[in-house]
Amino acid sequence: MSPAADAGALLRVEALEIAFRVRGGDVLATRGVSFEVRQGETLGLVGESGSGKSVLCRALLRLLPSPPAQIRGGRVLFDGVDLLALPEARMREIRGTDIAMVFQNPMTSLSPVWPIGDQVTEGLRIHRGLSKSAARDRGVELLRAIGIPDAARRYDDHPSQWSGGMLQRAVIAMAMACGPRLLLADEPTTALDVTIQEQILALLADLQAKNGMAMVLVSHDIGVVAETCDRIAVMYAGTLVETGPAAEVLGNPRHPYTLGLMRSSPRMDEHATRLQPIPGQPPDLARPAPGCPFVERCTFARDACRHESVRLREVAPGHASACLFPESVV
Amino acid sequence: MTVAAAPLLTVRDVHVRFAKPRGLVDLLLRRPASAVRAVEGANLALLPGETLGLVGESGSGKTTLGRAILGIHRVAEGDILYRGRAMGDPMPDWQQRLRREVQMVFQDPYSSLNPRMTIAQTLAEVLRFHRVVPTDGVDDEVKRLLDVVGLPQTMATRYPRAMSGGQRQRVGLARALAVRPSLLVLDEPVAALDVSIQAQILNLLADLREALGLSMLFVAHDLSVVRHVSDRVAVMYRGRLVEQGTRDEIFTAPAHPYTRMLLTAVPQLVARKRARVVQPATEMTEATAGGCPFAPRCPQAVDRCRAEAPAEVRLSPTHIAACHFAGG
Ligand SMILES: Nc1ncnc2c1ncn2[C@@H]1O[C@H](COP(=O)(O)OP(=O)(O)OP(=O)(O)O)[C@@H](O)[C@H]1O
Ligand SMILES: Nc1ncnc2c1ncn2[C@@H]1O[C@H](COP(=O)(O)OP(=O)(O)O)[C@@H](O)[C@H]1O
Ligand code: SF4
Ligand code: SF4
Ligand SMILES: [Mg+2]
Ligand SMILES: [Mg+2]
Repeated sequence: MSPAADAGALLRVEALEIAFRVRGGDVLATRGVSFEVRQGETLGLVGESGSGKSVLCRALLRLLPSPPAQIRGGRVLFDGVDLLALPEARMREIRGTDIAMVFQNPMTSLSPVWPIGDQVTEGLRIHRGLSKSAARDRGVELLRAIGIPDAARRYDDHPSQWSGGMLQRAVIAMAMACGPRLLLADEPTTALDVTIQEQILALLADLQAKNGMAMVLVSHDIGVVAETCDRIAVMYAGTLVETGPAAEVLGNPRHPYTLGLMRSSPRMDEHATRLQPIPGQPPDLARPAPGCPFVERCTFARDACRHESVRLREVAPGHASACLFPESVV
Repeated sequence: MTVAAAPLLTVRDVHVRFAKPRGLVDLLLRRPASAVRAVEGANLALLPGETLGLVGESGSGKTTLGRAILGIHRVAEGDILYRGRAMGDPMPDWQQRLRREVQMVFQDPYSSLNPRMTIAQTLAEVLRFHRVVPTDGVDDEVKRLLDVVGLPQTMATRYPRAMSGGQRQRVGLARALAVRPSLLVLDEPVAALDVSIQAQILNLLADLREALGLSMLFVAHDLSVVRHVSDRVAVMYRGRLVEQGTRDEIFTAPAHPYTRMLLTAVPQLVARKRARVVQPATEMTEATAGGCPFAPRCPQAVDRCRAEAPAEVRLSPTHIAACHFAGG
């Protein structure tokens, strides 16, 4: 299908393959990852640490250092244009305007020595050519929109004067400044307590509703994703193992790994005292074995799982699983 | 709660303060050093065999209180008693006994282990230092400890860098258990771990508590985690304990507005894209001196809250909350 024909997808990732060259072999950080995000939609990306979520996000923006990172194959179509094929200058422009990213640690994006307001509006001055005073007016507006009290005065504060939750708001304001069409948020609330987390998620949802922006929200917390996302993609050992509407994936998981993640999460809504951990550990990404990557930890595994190659296949409209026996997952 | 059992640990009106670092401007203007009040007037009691969960946001003072109990931070005011005797009592035999009976497990399994020692060497060192077993029994005891925390014997010769986060956290636990402590202070022991590994460690802690009759002070910022391990729960906000109760009291009848806010904010596993209201970032707003520390964020705050600090209200023999409106 030609990208232009699929009018709904703002971002379309096709068979993305990323490796890191390290001593003693290559680490395959993502293997044949494909997914779509439509305009105005929030896609939740979940999976345990090391599964490749951050690598994937950075790759979309071409922020991975190369070497050691190497894009081995695939396409990243944004509005039909393959970002992987663009000259770096054009990519820099897109990064500042059309696609923005928010990281787990706000200080990844902020300099400790400059006033916060100037940092929030830097993109407006560089990419939109705003004068210093026009940028300041807009910056105060942005700080107000993200709920910073007394914004005009706090514009000149330095990062050390703000709490972690407030800094994360500032980074979101910075990301929103040029009106991006896609926001990549990599664990934006993981370092915050639940009450501040709720404020940040509310802020993101609100900004998204106002701007019709699409969002990829990365989290290892299935609860966060459940409450924020329209669709979910579950990542395991560099592959997507289940994708679909949030209610479908969580209400009717069709991959044993998704089920395992849910069962091992402590929950508030039932009186379980014993959790059900997923046994074992993820496979070594430097030594990919044939068959299903989850086979060593899967309670549903059969002989075929060790040999047959797995790929996402539709199990219900819009809901796909990479398990060979999705119907046996209960 | 039985009245008969004497508490193993008593924390009585404890204050911990740190000198605020002075910046260049402060030095030039010869401003006096001021203090960060990390813990203000904490009261706690822990019974033998009991697990108390201590929750609160980052920076609320949980770690500081835990470290004060271990004697790592000096207590500015108040008393910490272990088996009824002041922990600060300098008698050498008492201090030696405390070093064995009270152990801490840290959040970061990466930095709390010696990178140049194998797991077996780390554990053997502790066993020899405290003469837990005769010298010729050390090897067997190392094996037993690995079993207790569910690590395969093949891990004995590994170095920390060659282990996963969950495995390292098990080693940290084995090291703390090596001296057969009565009281374990666990500071965010699962915060750095993935849910699947976190579940393994939480189950292990539950087993150990049953098997060894340990008392535990379990520090966490995650309420759903605390709910899985605690008999009682204490909630901390900006250096103060704002509510304490049994697990059921805290989770089914929370009395302090902050506790209620924490509970409603925990994400559930049910897909429901929630309509949320954008709140102003009030977390930096200073509370008025002499008023309730939670007033800037409290949905129920009235003028009285900004003028007068709430006293602790006793709602049941086991349930207390520091709010003017607790208990109706
Ligand atoms: N050694 C120290 N010197 C100065 N201030 C300190 C020191 N240790 C802690 N503090 C301050 O004391 C307060 C409480 O810190 P503490 O680390 O105990 O909180 P916490 O609730 O455990 O936070 P977290 O969840 O982030 O670990 C904070 O304001 C912190 O900055
Ligand atoms: N700079 C790098 N060099 C080598 N391997 C890397 C590098 N960055 C990430 N990886 C590997 O890529 C995989 C995915 O990592 P990451 O994207 O950070 O996971 P997540 O964000 O899901 O926690 C891991 O196996 C990790 O070790
Ligand atoms: S393909 Fe086999 S091993 Fe993989 S998840 Fe499905 S049942 Fe388990
Ligand atoms: S005393 Fe007032 S401000 Fe403090 S928690 Fe109670 S109602 Fe809220
Ligand atoms: Mg990551
Ligand atoms: Mg802490």
